[in-house]
Order: sequence, then C-alpha cells, then structure tokens
Amino acid sequence: MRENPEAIKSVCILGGGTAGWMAASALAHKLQGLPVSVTLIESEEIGTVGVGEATLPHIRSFNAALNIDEVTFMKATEATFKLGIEFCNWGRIGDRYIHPFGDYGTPIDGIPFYQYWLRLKQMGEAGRLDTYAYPIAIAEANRFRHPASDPAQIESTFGYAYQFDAGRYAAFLRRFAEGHGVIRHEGKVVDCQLNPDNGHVAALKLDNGAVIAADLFVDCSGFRGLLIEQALKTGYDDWSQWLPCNRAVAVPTESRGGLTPFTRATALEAGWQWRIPLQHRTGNGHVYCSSFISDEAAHARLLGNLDAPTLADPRQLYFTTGRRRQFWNRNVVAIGLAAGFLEPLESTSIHLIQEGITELLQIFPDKHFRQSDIDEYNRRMGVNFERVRDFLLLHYVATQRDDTEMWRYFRNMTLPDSLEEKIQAWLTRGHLIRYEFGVFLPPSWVAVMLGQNLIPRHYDPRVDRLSSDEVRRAGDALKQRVSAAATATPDHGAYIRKMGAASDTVPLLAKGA
Amino acid sequence: MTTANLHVVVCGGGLAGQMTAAALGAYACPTLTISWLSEGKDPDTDLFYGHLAPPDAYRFNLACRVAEPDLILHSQTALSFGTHYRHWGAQGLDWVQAFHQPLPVLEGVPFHHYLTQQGQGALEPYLVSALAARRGVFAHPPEDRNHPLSRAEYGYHFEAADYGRRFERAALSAGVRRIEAAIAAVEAADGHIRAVHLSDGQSLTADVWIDASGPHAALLSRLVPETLGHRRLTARQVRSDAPPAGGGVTVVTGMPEGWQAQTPLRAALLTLTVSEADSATPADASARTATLTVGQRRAAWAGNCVGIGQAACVAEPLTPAPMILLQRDIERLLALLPVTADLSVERREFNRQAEVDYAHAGLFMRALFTAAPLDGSAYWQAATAEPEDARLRLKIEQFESRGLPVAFDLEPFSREDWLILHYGMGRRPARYDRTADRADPARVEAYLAAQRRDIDGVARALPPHHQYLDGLTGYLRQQQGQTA
Repeated sequence: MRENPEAIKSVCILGGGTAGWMAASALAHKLQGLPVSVTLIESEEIGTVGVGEATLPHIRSFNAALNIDEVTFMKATEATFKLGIEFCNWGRIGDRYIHPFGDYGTPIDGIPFYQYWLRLKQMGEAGRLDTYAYPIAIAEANRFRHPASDPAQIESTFGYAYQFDAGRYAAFLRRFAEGHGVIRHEGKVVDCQLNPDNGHVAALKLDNGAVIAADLFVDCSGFRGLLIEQALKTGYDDWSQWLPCNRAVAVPTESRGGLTPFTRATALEAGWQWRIPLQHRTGNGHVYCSSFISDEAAHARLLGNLDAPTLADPRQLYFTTGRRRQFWNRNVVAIGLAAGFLEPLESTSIHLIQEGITELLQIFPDKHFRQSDIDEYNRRMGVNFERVRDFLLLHYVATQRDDTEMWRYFRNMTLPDSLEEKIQAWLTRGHLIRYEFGVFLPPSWVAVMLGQNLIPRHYDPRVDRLSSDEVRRAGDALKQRVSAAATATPDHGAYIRKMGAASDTVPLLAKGA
Repeated sequence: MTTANLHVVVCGGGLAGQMTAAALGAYACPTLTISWLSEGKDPDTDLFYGHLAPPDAYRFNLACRVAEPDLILHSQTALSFGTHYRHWGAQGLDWVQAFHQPLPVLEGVPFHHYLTQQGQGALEPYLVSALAARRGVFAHPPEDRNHPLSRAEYGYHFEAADYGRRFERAALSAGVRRIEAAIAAVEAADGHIRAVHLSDGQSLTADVWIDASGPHAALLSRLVPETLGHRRLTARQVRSDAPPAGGGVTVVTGMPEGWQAQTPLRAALLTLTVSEADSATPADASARTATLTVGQRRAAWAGNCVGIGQAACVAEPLTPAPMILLQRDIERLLALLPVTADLSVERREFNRQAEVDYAHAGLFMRALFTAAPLDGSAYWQAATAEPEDARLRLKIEQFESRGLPVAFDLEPFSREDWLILHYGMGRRPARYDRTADRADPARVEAYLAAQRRDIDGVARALPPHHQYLDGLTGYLRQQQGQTA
C-alpha cells in the first residue's frame, strides 16, 4: 500500500452518543486496513441526549454498509419495525393520518395515483387515501412483513425503518467500533489546544491529564458544540422564527397494548407529543415552545396523556432549532446535535447524523483541508437541513387549527419562499415542486398535505383521459388488492418473534400477540 | 375555463409542434381539446435541434404513442451510442461522449477512483457503448445485468422532418385537430394572446396557446419580445443519400471556424456544419442553412402563451441538449396543463423549471469549451466570451481535485455524462478515495484488465450498426406479418 504523507493519520471523535458511535463505526469500517487511527472521547459523567429513537428507512443502508445483521441489531436495541408516523390532531383536532414509507398506489399513465384519488374525491367517491396504501393498511392493523422483491406485488410498495433504544444502539455500535479498532478514551475535555498557525484544533486535554492529538476532529459533543462552537466560534443560524419549539420533556413507559409498527406524533396546544413503541418500553415526550406553555404545565400535559405507567422520572431538554453556520470549519466536522437541531417530528435526527457521516466519507479530507472540500460539504449539508426544515414547518402551517396562541402564531407566519410556492402549487392543482437532493420525496409531501386537509382545488387534467368508470374501477381494484394483501400479512410482534429478533429482556415474549 | 374544459392550440409545423401535438394528443379527451396550427412545416431552423436524441427519447416517444419499432420500420431513424468528438480545441481532443449507465461502485468506492489509483488515464476502455461507437457496431443492451452491454444506453439519429412525421401521425391518430393555414395576424392585449387570425379567414381562440413556431416565436414574441443572448450561429446541413459506411455514433469534428457533425441515418448521411454567423464559409448550393441567435427568451411562459422548444430557448446542437430541452419543455407543459383561467401558479413553476433547465444545460455546453481554445478562432473566442458559471467551476474543481461529482437538482445531463466529459476534456482527478487502497492492488489490476477484456470482447462481437438494423427491421416486419 502506498503511503501518502498528506493522508489523515488520526481522527478523533468527541462524544459518545448516537452520533459519536455512528461516526466511529462508519469511519472504522470504511477506513479499516488503512493507516488511520480512530479514537473516541466520551465521559460517563456526561449524559447523552439519545437523540431520536425513531428512524427513517435510510438507516437500513447505514447498517447494511457495516454488514450488521438485522436480527442481531434488533435484539440488541429492542427494536421494532416502523412503517411510518401517525399524526393526530394536526389538521384539525380529531384528525389522524399516517405518513407512510411508501407511495399511495401505483402511477397510471405515468401520473401518480393520488391525482386519480383527487378526481374520485371530486366525484364524491373517494375512500380515505390511506386505504389505497399497503404500508398504511398493515400499520393500522399492527402487521408487518419485509417488502416483497417482485415489484409487481403490492407488498413491494413500501420501505421500513426501525424504532429502537438509541442508548442501546450507541452501545451496540460501540462494540462494533471497538471491534474494528476504535480506541475509546474515558474523560472530560478540559482544554482544547489550537494550532496558532492555522487555528486548527491540535489536541484535546482531558481531565485525567491525557492529551489526544489528531489530524481531523469530529465534534459529536451535542448541543454545546465543544469544538465547532466553543473552540472555533463558528456561529449558529437560529431558526426559531420558523420552528419555535425549544424544549422537550421525555419519559419512558411500560410497553402495553398491541405493538404498533409506527411512531405517533400528536399535536397539542403548545407543541406535540411523541410515542415510540419499542420492545421493552415505549418512549414518550412532549416537544413544546416555552413562550406558550410553562415547564410545569408541559410536564403535566405529558404525564396526563400517557397510556401506561412510567418507568423513570421525566427528563428535561433545552434546544434552539437551527444549524451551525458551518458544519465543517477548519479541521472540525460537527455531526449530530453539534451540527444543528431540528425537532424530531419526522425522525430526522438520526438521518441527519447519517447524512453528515456519509458526506464526510465521500469528501474525506487530507491534511491540506482544502477549502473547496469544506465548502462542498457545507453546501450539501446546508441543502439537507433547509429541506428538512421546510418539511417540518409544513406540519405546523398546513393546518386549520387556531385554537391556541401557538397555532395562531403559525397562521400569521411569513413562510420561506420555497415553502410558500410549494404550498400554492399544491393547493391550486396538486402539483408538487420536486427536488432531487433532500430526504423527503413527493409521496411524503402528499401524505402530509392531504393528511392535514390541504385538498387541491383541481387535479391534473390528464387524469380525465380515463372515464369515470375506469377511474372508479382502478381505485376499487387497488383498494381490494391492498386490503387482501394486508389481511395476509403477519402480526408485527409475531413476526419479530418468528424472525428471532425479540430481545431477551422483553415483555414481547410474554405478550403472545 | 375549469378542469372540465380546456382548449389548447399548438402553433408550429416543425419538430417542436409535431412532438407537442403528439404529446398532448396522448391525453386528448372530451375535456381536453387540442387544435394544431401546423404552419411552417420542415423549417430550416429545425437544424438547430441537431440530429441526436438522448436515451430518454425512448420513454418520451412511447408516451407520445411513437414506439421504437414504428421509428425503425417507417423512418430513417437510426440508433446511436453517442457522439465521437474529434480534433476538439487546441489539443485536438478525441473522445466518445457515450450514452452509458452508472459505472459500478466497488466496495463503496466509485469505479473511476480505481483508475486514478492505478494511474490509468483512460476511461473509454470501460465504456462498452464508447468502444462499440468507435467500431460502428450496435446491439440493443440486454436486460441481463451481468452482460457488459447492459450498461450501454442509446439514443436516436434522426432528421427532423422524417422523425417529426411519426409524431404528426400519432397526433392525428389521437384526435388532434389539424389546421393547415398560415397566421395572418396575432391579436394580443393585456399580456395575453386573444386570437389568431388565419390566412383562410378563420380566427382561433384558445384557453392556452402553445408557441412551438420556432425561434421567431410567432405568438410569444408578441408578449415577450426580449431575448437573452446575442451570439449568432449558422448551421448548414448537407444530406448525402448514399448508405453510410459506419453508424451508431455521431462524429463531431472541431474546426477553427466551428465544428462539423456527421450523423449516419439508415440510408443517408447528414453533415451539419456550425460556425459563427459572420464567418466566411463557402456557400454550398445543396445545403440547408439557418442562422439563429442562441439564447433564451426572457420568459418561456407569458400570459396565456407557452413557448416550447426554440420559441423559448435556442441551444447550439453540439450535444443532444436541444432535444433534451425540447422534451423537457413538453413534459413540463403536460405536468402543468392549466386547470383554471388563472395561470399564475403554472406560469411561475414552468418558468422556474425552464430557467433551471436552460442554465444546467448551458453548464454542460460551456464545459465543452473549457478545453484549450483554438488560437485565432473567432468561434472559440465567442464561445468562451462569457465567464464560466460558478456551478461549472465547482464541478470542474471538485472533479480535478478528487474525482467528486457535484450535482444540482434534476440536471438534464447525468453524472455519467459529466464523468465522461471530464475525462474527454483531459481532466484527471489529482486524488482518489483512499479507501480504494484497502483492496489488493494486484486484484484491482486483474479486475480492471478483465473488465477491459470483456468489454472489448463484447464490442468486437457486435454486428455493424446497419447490419443490426437490417436484421431488426426484418424481425419487426416478420412480427407484424409483413413481407421482409
């Protein structure tokens, strides 16, 4: 193997939460066999936020790239399958819909099925849009199977993700990373030494006296951004004007009832509440805006809404939505909460970690730290963050609610132009302004907009090429296919047990369902 | 007007009009009436669409009810693996801008990084469509993903009038009402087209006017007279009816005064020469000629009038860009067919997409002129007069620095097109993904050698393009129960 004197020889990751161990695992795996050391500094005294317990389907490709066996991973992380997110009370109080990982039906003549559904709706003959989507049908019935490989089967028309214990995922990845040569240092950083010539981070001094030097630092230190902000003063773009929720309280409860293969997000008076069912417990939390509700009231609201006894005391979190002005500054790349924070309404926290890691691996630097590499990384991650922001904001503004101060705040908000145009094109004719780069593709936008009662005034006129009878028949046939396939799909919990992914600690085994 | 009733009038008898009429015709129904004013058939300005349609034409045409067998059996259309550029720029660059699917990613590392690692400067030996193009051979890519030829893609060689007739036929079969008269007067008021008066005394009204009349934009120019761009080019086409010796690729040869493209059809060879409008090129009496200003109209959609093709943007036919943009114009129109009399949302979105497409296509075109320029060539001087766009600089910088593709949303040219272009222009990445070093160098070398051998073997085994097409024609006739 050729030795490149400019090659990075050492990478130091600061922080051992989800982001830290994901980064460590990916770097160790990708750089395996190369003369690069990967170290990770974490302190057991500093708790981790355990960002996100619900994920997006992309997490599967992250695990697959590491050759992680699904069954082993699910057992170790108390994971359940996730087919989408159920949103309650978002459009109006009493509404509910599921944003699935999949499409509604299949296109006809190259036109998405939802356009035909809009026509059926105008004809007064449309069923719930959800009844035309296989992943929603099985999610509502607490069923699951892996997608079929034959694209002709309706059972192939979805993706899936996981709901898992983020702390256990970090621990699982720690074993993986250490098994792949990552050196873990226990300790708290007490000093960050900068290179006086170029302002790069040169070394970190720990409270035990150890000094860790590295060529490249990955800041996974969480909200504080110990390197990217405290050392390098990178700056933060505050997006509170659009996403004003700034606090959360989280509490786990016992796992009760059917094992739902979806996460739930219920809109409340001053924020929203999550419910994430894992094998061994259910994660719950209340994301809220402190301008509209006190901490005490927010806690009470959460505790009053739980459907099972709590397993621990509530934990309080504080944050400011936004992004670091530069995700990569000098020789520091911020990943996870150090890079920015967007509320976990669409389970994007872990996804944005994954994107940060993927882009870093693609644009892995050498000791020159060329500005062109840094700029390109920052450009790509900026697009990712901004598009997620717009999609999250859509949930708050695609609503008829005005029952509290918070909902009225959103009603009076001036939207980013990109989102405003998107909503107008949709309302006029069900047209989706598409992009290529960004996590949420058209079916996701359709799900939220229709789910929150943004019903276009018109449908694509090309749909009229089919007669009313033909559209009706196509709709009925699809609904029947979905229904028949859903009935034949196994129970979610039973499926996990059968594939051997039930954890040993779990009440799932005893549930029998 | 409501969703339930839309009358569209397409103006233009050239290729853009024919393709637009066919594309709309595929959706004709009692609530969508399409009239087609086919004035100005086979205009010389259609030379600026060039003679090469991109791989996506297969899907586009099918949606217009123009199937490939129809083109093979009833037109001069031939199949193409891309463009072979020769004597390009001061260095006399020579490469095949082949149509090709993505190259493999091996152990998480994009293929071309292994070439950099191994110090290999040539991408072409790994592009089956490029090798086949150089040999003048052809076969359809098979579905078997293990077959090296499955990574090839292909487009079409066409002559506008001949190709357009298939679309015209499809449009009429679909129930599009054709009006064969000339425009006598266009009535415009308040930023809208109110009526078009015809030479036969008829007057037309419509909910939406589609201006596919060519660069003079008979309707749209009344609403948007301003065009952006000042460079005037002359295209001259000579047709030779002798069966071409080679086939399956367009050959573009760079010259001080511009360039010349030779495009073999089934039984004819088209030679297109493009130069600065004021350059002194000897006239050829048999040549068809058109001189146009390349650039775009300030807005592609104004009021109730939508510009399609050259009515909105004239591109130099040095790449398939003119046809890519024409297809995209039409597909954008289909997706934004008006639903009410208020066209503001459709107009804004159409213009936004058009702007982006024209700009992105422009990046690719401009990239061809980042080679060392020909000294003293007025053509090259004019082609490089505008500074490079920052996005193009980013693409080049990242490729040269580390072989990294920089892409923007929904570009008309794919990453593979850009990769092949970079190599063709003589660029080589200074660095490669160092994880390529994890692989045993001997294994990588052996793998690359096997790839080259397999691809070369496949290219050598393919039949000559015309022989393949003859066989295909016989097969299709047999399928249709006709006499071979």
